[in-house]
Amino acid sequence: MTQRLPELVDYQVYVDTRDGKLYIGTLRSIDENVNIILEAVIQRLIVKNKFADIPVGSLFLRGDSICTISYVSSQTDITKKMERVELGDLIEDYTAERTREKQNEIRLAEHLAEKGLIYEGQIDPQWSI
Amino acid sequence: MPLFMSLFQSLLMKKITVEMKNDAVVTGILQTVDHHLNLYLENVETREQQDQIHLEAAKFIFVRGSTIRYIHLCASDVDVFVLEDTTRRDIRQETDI
Repeated sequence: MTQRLPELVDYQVYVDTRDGKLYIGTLRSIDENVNIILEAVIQRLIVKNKFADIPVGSLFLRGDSICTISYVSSQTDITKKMERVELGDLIEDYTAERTREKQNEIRLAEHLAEKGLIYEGQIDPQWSI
Repeated sequence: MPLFMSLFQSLLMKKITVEMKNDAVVTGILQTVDHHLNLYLENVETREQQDQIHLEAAKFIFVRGSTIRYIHLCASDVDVFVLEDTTRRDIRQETDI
């Protein structure tokens, strides 16, 4: 088990998941498989330099869906170059961008299948925010 | 110690680039590695992308080994001959039983 993650318990962390979502929350619990429990979680949607937050509550994340866990010092304001907007104003752009990404992914998988290869990503056309 | 873990142990405090399965690419100084090849990186740089700005601002990031797709190493940091030798020795030890 890596030494430094347990030191982050009770600190705010940024968690990127394998399906491209970003959760921000207080780390409350962690085990050797990096399953984690976050409290006071928000999911942040980012499109270009605009962002919106969705409150999620508490969240258990299974280790295999976690990509990175990052710790940003509370003195650093990472949103100063970005503009906070209402969720309703962002949702359309965000949906469009994610749909475009998904279509590219499906095209890539088809292209690989033609060559007899298997795409190792997760294709989920029924994705949701 | 597993071969690749000791390889990365020898790369501690060196700069590496990690490409992950969510298509994020980060470059940073390797701090710790464990037997799952989970990594700790400091001084992280990313490709200029707005949705990765939190990675650049981070004091350090933890990368889960299972989501790593590629790790780019600097050629001068790896002694290929030693690596090949160790690989051969390991194989010989395993088949010698």
